[in-house]
Amino acid sequence: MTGCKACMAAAFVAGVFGASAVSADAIRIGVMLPMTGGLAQSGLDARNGFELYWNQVGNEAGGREVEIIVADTVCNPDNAINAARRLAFNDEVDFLVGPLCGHEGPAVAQVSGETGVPLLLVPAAADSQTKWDRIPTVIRTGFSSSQDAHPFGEYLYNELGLRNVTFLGQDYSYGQEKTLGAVATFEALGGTVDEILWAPLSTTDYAPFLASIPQGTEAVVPVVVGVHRNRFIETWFDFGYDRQFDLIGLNLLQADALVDMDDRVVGLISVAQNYSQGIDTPENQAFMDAYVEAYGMIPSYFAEMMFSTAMWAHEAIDSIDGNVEDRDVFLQAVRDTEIVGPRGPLRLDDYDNPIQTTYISRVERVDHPTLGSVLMNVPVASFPDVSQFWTWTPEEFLERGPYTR
Amino acid sequence: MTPVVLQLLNGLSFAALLFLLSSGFTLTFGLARVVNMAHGAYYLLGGYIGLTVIGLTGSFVIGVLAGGVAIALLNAVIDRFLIRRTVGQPLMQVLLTIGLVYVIAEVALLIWGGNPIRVPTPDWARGPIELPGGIFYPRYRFLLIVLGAVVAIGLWAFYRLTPIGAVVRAGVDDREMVSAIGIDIGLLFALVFALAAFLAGASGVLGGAFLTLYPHAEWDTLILALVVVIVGGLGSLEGAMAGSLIVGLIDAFGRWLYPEAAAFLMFGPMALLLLVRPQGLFGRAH
Amino acid sequence: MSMARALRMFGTIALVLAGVILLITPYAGNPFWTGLMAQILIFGLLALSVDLLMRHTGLFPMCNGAFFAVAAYTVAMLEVNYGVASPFAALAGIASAGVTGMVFGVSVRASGVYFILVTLALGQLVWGVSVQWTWLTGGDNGITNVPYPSLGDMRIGSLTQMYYFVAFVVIFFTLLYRQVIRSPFGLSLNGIRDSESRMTALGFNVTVRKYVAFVISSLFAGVAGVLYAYTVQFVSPAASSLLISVEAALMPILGGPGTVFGAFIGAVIIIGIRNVVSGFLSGWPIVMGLVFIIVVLFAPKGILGIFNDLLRRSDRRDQAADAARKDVREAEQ
Repeated sequence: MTGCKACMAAAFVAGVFGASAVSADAIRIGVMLPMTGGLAQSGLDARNGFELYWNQVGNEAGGREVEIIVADTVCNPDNAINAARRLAFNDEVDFLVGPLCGHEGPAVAQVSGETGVPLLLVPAAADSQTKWDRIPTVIRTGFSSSQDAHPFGEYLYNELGLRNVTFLGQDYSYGQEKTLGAVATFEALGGTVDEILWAPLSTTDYAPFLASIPQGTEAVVPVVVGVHRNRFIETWFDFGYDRQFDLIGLNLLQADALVDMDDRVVGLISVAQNYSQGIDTPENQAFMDAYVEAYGMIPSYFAEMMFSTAMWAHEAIDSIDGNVEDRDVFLQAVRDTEIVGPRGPLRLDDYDNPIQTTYISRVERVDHPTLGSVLMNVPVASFPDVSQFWTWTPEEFLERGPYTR
Repeated sequence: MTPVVLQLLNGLSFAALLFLLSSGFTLTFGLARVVNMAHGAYYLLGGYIGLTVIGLTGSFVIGVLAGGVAIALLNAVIDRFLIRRTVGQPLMQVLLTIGLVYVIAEVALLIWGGNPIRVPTPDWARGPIELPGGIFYPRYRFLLIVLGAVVAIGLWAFYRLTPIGAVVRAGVDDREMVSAIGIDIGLLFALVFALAAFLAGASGVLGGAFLTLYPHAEWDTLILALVVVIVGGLGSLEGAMAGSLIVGLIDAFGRWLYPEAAAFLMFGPMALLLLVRPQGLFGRAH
Repeated sequence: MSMARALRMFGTIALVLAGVILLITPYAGNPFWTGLMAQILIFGLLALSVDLLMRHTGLFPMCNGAFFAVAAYTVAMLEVNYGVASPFAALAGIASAGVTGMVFGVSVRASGVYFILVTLALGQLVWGVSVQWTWLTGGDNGITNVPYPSLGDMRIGSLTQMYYFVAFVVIFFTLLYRQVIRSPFGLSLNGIRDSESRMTALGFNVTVRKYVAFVISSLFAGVAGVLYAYTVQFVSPAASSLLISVEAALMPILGGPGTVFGAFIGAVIIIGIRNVVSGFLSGWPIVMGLVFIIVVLFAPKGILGIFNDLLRRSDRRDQAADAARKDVREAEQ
């Protein structure tokens, strides 16, 4: 009886402490995403995209097995920092991937800097992390907030022929960086910004805001996130603003918002982003088909970004025959690797931020073979090889400082 | 002139929603001194249940009723087995109901997922209506104002004019007296609790068509309700009316005239009011 | 061995064990555990600041997270943007929390539930500022690269050193806290909690005393905020979120009343659920919610309360047993 108690205790100890003990020769990847709380769905999309890729390649890279360990960050930096340390020290991962929320980025990057565990920063987009606050062990495989906004500002002026526009920006870091990025290039060409209306994250009703749109303005350009997209759209059509102004979305209707939309939004310019579900390439077609088959829904850009990141890591690991233990070698391999993902060709600039295509999307109703009739973003314009510095030199951009109100 | 009228209507429609949301909160407190921090979670859960029922039946009205009834039933269970065990201990009540917020919100996330979903407005409430003076206003919001006013008048009449209302008010002032004259105060409480929870659940469906349902709405909505009752005075129906109007109108006109100060529109006036009248406009010191 | 003696021995062992763990964490564990322990100590101190109002004054504040955040932001801004020397930055951080406390202190005019709601709303004001005034607070990106504190040429150089610094400061302020609650002023607060009218009749100015207690509480929360900024090395709006205040209020209740240990026991559990349980249980917020509910329903005096009750009961049983034995002996004689 006592003997059995001892063996039960041993089993218990093994269960608690051995849970994270894995086969020594597997490559371990620590993924940090919000799995609970307000951004849980985005976190789930991202995780799905990541796992989809690794499943496709049989969870293998550089001749070694690949093991993925996911940690919940709750979109809270305090949790994120602990999650990163737990992955680094308890699970002894070879490198980290994530996080999702902008303010978690610096927290996780700091742990990477402290410990030397490489971090593939994605999808968190804060501009500063590949500009003013770079850390040698951190490579971004997602995008910088203002990156897609720069070509969009020129698109407004050159392609759409707009001269007087009003911006409606979400009043927090990401919203400010994306809004002011487009303002900068639009004004540089000679465009006039009639007004920038800043909507706090606590905004419940958009009707009072929209009443402040100046009369003579030609178009309204919203940069709104999360639930604010739904609220904005509803108010826009309810109050008949669609009959008064053009609506040109810079950050308005990504795939996850389209789920809840109807045909009123068909034909709208919806978003400028490094991905558009309607990209017509074999890479994207294969990704879309596989994702829809696996999860029964259209992939969000979070899913694509994590899928490409997995592909990027995979090819980098292959190129060094799985020697991820040598961190410098691994980081250099990621820097040297160029891939063609669903979102197009990807390579890094000298500041470890991807040079990639910016797609400007329009909402269309598409007949999907398995999902039936769905709303989807389809590119209407694309700007290849967009750098985070756009046409400025890095020195000029860094000298000018971050986009902030 | 037209923009002013429009903002007035915006303020009123938001106020109508705020009233539906906060009246239940303030009623339960007024009668039973119960502080239910899960009120926002009730709103969210009621909204989601309504959404599902609308999907099944195609009827918005049934959805609103289902959201309300489901929450009333849920609250009966929660009240019977949990909240009642914390009577007279506001601190414990607050913590208990915050615990409920965590549980309800996570369960809702598991069932309905995390993408923001708007409750679809019925066909008969879509599009604009023309008001006197050639002003076009969204029909749904207009109906919300009407509904808010009807519920407000109904509750007020119930509270002030009916014998039951008199007892409820007496219950607020002197519980022993009510029990002494032989009224079943337990039944009365159950009735008012059911009404309050119904309003929370139903306002989730109505508000979901206006503000959209999303994870974290459980906290955002709770804070809105709290601001209203703090301004109006906790436990007072008239206070909830006044608080809703003040918060709704300040929000509308403030965002329109002073968008720069948007962050303080909710809490600034409230903080100022507290300096002058810490118990709120219609509250009594307790 | 009697039950009471076993319990006492268990208590002593637990205390010694806690002390040993506190001392050796950086060497026995790894930086994950060190960082986690540092957070537990910091949030334990924040919980203690809540407990001052809750246990000793009968007020239940929901804005201590705001003081915590104001102090953290002040330190981060002064260190990062202006290169202010650490001792001054730290003092300014605590002072700014105190000033915020003086302003928010108007809320002591309200009482009971009303006080809870008012402080909650005031706390939200700070959150609004931290998210929206990006020019001041860095907005959602927060303020990053806060250095470890330094004094002249002496600089804390590692997480391990920082951990011991945190432990030292937290222990120091915990002892100070004990002095406060045992002082005549602290005892008068207990009087206010038990009966405001009696204290008024005895000639105490109750409102002023509550106000002072409120400001002291904000200062303790400020100390926690300063340590947080230095340890975590960045500050973001998460520091001012409602959940920080909510969880800081639950910690002392969860741990147990009366002693200063309760707040820290509570911190261990809450931070443990957030960071350790979440590692293997995806529905962990439900666990968190259930902990709130179970504590309220079955252990309103917290874990230490259960322990003390057990101890008292077994003491009584021992006494009864002794008496019975005595009776038997006397009867036999």
